[in-house]
Amino acid sequence: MNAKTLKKGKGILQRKNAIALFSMMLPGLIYLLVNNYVPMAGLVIAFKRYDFSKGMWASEWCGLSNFTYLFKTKDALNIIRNTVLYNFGFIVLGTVLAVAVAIMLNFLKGKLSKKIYQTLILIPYLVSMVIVSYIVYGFLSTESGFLNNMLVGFGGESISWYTQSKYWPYILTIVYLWKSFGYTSILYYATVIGIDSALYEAAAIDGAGRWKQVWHVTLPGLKTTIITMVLLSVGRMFFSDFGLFYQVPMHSGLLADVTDTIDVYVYKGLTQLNDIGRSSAAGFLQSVLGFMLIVVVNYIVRKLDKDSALF
Amino acid sequence: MKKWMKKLAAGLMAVTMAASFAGCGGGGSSDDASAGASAGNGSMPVVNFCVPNIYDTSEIQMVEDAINGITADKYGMKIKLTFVEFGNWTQQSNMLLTGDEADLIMIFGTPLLSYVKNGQLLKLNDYYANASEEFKKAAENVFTEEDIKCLTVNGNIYAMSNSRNHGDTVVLAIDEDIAAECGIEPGASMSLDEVDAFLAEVHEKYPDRYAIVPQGNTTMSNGGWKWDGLGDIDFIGVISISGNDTTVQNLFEMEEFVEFTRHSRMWYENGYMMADCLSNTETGSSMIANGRAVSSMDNGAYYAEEDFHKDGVVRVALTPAKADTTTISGMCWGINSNSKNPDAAWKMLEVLYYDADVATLLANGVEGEHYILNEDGTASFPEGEDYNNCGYGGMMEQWLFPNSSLGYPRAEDGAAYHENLAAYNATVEKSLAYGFCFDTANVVDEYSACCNVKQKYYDALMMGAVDPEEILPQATEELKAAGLDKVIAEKQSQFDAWLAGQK
Repeated sequence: MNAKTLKKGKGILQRKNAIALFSMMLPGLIYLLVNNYVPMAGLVIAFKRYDFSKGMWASEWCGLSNFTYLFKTKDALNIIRNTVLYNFGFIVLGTVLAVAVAIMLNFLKGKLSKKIYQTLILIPYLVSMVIVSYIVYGFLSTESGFLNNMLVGFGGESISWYTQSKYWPYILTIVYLWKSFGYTSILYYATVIGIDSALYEAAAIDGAGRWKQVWHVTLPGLKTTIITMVLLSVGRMFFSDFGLFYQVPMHSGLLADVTDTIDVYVYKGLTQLNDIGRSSAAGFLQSVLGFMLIVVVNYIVRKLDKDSALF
Repeated sequence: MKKWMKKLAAGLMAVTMAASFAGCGGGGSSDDASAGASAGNGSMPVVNFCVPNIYDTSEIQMVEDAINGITADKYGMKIKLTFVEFGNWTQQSNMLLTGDEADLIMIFGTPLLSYVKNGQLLKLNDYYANASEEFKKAAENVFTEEDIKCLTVNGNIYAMSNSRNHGDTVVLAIDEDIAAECGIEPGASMSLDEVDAFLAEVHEKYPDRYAIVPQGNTTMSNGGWKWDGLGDIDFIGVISISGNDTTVQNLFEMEEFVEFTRHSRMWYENGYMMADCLSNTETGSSMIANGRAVSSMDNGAYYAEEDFHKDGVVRVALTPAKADTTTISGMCWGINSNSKNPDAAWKMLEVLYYDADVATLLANGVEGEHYILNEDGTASFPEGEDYNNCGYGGMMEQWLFPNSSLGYPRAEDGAAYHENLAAYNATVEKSLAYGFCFDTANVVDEYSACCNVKQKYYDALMMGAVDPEEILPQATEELKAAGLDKVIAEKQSQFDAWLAGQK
């Protein structure tokens, strides 16, 4: 009957809403523009032979020659493999561990114990990588390391951890999980506590036990968050935590085959050559690959489940 | 229908959030050099002088004020002293050179050539050619035209050589008590076989001390060993320092390197070397001083017998004294190409070379506060103080400054120190390649790939932490895959052309 007025009223409401939303967004937007968009102009450096005395705009163009060094050696394959495989492992194991911990946190009854556990699991996340590297060293040192002392105590031979690359994929994965699971768990936990408790009650009435409740209520409730988080990590598939891969192995050169990710390789190569053009080229390549990956994965997700897709 | 607006808002919000999740650690390279800290107020130019340091600099302001008290009246300009910790120097000096903050800067840690390639250093040809008489006179005592050749790239001069040893000997530094006990004379020479025997002896006598430790961090010997990298501090292609062979060789296949690693491997296997050497963060000298180690390699110039026995250690020579291009180019003084006032920077550099009062303030600090003058013309730290707590430890690192020979030598170094230094620099044997500097421009991709391989193995091999029998062939194979042959061929042809030009 008076659908028209209703619609009009709603329109005004909508516009007011929009203004409020926009104004809330403004500081973040400005930050984003200044911090993330303006510097993008600096990407031109990747295509220039950078000369400090001429500056960014006046330096000579050099085509793609800044990119070639990444593909000249077999190192390129090695570092890309390391970066992608570690990230893949981190995403899979990290997500499983974080979701498991979030669900376990939800099972805790006491308020105090909840607080204590939340704080405890978050502490590693707050520790600087440099300190982590010394904690790891405390375990792995040849002379006084905890692990070697144990090995020798049990009659074994001590292992020179920092010279043998075969152990490091495991060590780095364990360190990464230990350091990061707390933070991601809390993110998932925030979603878990948002799940309507009526759903659990209904499930319980239908005779579902703890496991069934987790399987049929909690996990489906978490699905969208998990997908969002995974998508975000997939976008950073070609990036790596520099501190983890550079500091934790104590920059022992011998481990380079398994600890050199793109970032570390570029850092090492460029602290030697001090060449800004090449470092931006590597950064540029990482971003492009990451962007393509996220578009592809998002496309797949959208095909499978439209609501979960990012865009 | 303002639905699009809401959609847009929601969309942007999502992007904002996603970006703040994902955006950290991108590759922001903001390039605007806006910080004008060194501009100073008024019309008097202020020259920012940037130098690495290890010792106490808490009273640096006092030294700066004292220098400015002289230079403001006499030369109409001021200095700003910027000391950066040694450990942070490589990174921070690169940062300093991205903008216009630094004026005078020490070239150290990053090869001169990469600064030149990046256009970070000012060409000094005109300044040098038109330098004042005072400067020319003072410089004669500090460096020669031949030294300047080591700082010249494609005919352009980029830096000035400073007052320090222009030659280098690799030595074994040994705790003085233990050296005396083992009957080791300061200044004697030792072969690697004799080092083997010595380490075995002290390992037996002092099982709770490391017989040998790295010179610092994970570097066995800062002075390398018996090779010359031809102006390249990564040693991708070297010549031997013994004999007249000008063939550029692969480091990992050269006889001297293989021999050294065979010995160091034995030291490591027998427990003479600290087992955790690959993650070491201490200097050898501090471990000897606090009784945890007996010896470590060291390098420097030693003029008189007392130089071989100083600061609690006895030194024995392992290699002959020698000078190569990197001895000079590894530490020198240049001007930032973006300096706001290059004329003032050069003028200040001149002053630091010839004004004895200014040079002394920089080298020793303020008299009575940071040093006291002894009767024989040497300086000591004030009673009860040392380089760690006197307020200005410059005296311990006089070799950093442009011309410390105008200041007072340390009492430990003796009154004749500066004369000895000058005599040493005049007579030290020069490498065949002295003055030649390899230009990586044509092989830059291969060169950087080779550097990565070299860095992977070099430290561990030098310390004996890995088996050379197994690793050397493997490393060579990887170097070849990275393009070593091309780099060596390029280096050889540049070197041959240079040699031909010398005749």
